[in-house]
Amino acid sequence: MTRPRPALLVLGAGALALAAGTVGIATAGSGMHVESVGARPAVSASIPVAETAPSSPDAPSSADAPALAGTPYRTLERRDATELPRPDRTPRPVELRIPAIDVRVAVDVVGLDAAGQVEVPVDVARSGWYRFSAKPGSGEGSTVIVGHVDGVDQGAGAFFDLRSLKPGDTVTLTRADDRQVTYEVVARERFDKDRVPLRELFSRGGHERLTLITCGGPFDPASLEYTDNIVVTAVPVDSAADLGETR
Amino acid sequence: MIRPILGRVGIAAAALALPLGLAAVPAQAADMATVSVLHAIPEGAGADVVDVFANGDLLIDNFTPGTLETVEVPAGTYDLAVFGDGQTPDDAEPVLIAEAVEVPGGVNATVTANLDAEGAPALNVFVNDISALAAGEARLIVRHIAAAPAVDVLAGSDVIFSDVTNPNEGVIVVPAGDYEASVNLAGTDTTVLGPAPVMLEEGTVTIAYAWGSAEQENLALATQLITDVSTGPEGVPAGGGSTTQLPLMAFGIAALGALAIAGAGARLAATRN
Repeated sequence: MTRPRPALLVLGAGALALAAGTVGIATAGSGMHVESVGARPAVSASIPVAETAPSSPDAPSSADAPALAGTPYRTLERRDATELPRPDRTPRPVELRIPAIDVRVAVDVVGLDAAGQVEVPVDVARSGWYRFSAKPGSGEGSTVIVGHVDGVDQGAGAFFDLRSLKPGDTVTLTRADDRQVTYEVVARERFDKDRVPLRELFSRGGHERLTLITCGGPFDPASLEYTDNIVVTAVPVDSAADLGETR
Repeated sequence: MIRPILGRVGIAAAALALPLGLAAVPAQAADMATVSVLHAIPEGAGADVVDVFANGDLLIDNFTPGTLETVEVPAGTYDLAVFGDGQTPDDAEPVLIAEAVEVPGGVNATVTANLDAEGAPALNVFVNDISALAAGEARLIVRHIAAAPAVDVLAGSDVIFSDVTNPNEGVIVVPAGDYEASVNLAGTDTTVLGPAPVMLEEGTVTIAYAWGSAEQENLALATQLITDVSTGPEGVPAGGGSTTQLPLMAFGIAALGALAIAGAGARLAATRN
């Protein structure tokens, strides 16, 4: 934190009301928090690798398991390079539901604006899937959905209550093929916009996860922007138990 | 039968001169390097199944044409040797060697076993440019490792790399998306590969190899992907302010002046850099 945060403005804005629950500094992931609840899975520690690391010096060699026992080498991947990369046909998300805060909104496809920032749907009642992020159910990486906390003249937005989500709350995405993927919240964080760990939050590597992003913190009437981003991280319910120890 | 290449493979040391972008490496990764090996000697050239050794230790077992294997190795200097299937440094002579290949920590490199322009087997070492891409971008690297003359590489009808010769490469950063790529004999309209649809994924380095032999009529494409090298977007502007300044914002833009006055105290306290 390099910038002083004025208590007067914070109280006046009334935007910092916290859900009951523990507030602490997350140990996984990174970034400079204003506040956080729970913990994101660390991206770098969860990049999947082939389990062919040396396990036993007597391990037999075979074509299927490259024999690296007793060497300092670790096999990460073997593939047929003559197979050209195929387009990802996984269907995109079309609807987002968050029962705990009564959210059921359409999901548009959003990209980048001229400044390289994520486009957020103008209609604050809709949300946007960042088209360069992972698709739900793809098995790896961050699926990013953005939504307005409010609009200039539209009142509260779809993600107004994102600030009150807590670990254990569920989030369900419906894809274009009607398949549903349900996630469990593992972390809620608030970052100064200058300190958001964008590379990690948007990484298509690491544990499969859902990342919901909106604005929060004090509203700066000079820049007409909120000073912070609120980020909620959720993991597929099937794998939430596996991450228990990091929560 | 492949002849042993004696002595150091010249290209190896030269190609490992590091681009500046590779200097910044996370601390824990600094003592390890990622090395991929591509078997790009076509079938029938005497290297159909080989084993690759590094400093006398088995690195890759039962390696066949068209296969790419990626390994993590400690930073260091490596003597690489390719042996016929089942043979070892103890009982046989290698079919190909590259000595004293410098592999700095944090580097991402690809070693190719391929044919040189004249059709003789060779090992080449390429450093892969994994410097961060801005959101929305993709990097395409095209490498000529075929027994074939100089080529031009086209995206649609535009030449993106001209006069590329074995064992050289072209590197370009483009908006992520779908392209149609083809390879022509340099300076001609004679297409030797493609046109083929190529999807360049955001935040990904796509390396395309032209390998095989023009004379043997087995020129082909192989690809390697290095994912997740994007910086991510610049930010997420997701608020308009109506729920915090509703009474004032109701007056529209004119209210901003009033806001400045009414909120003077708060703004004074909120003075920021």
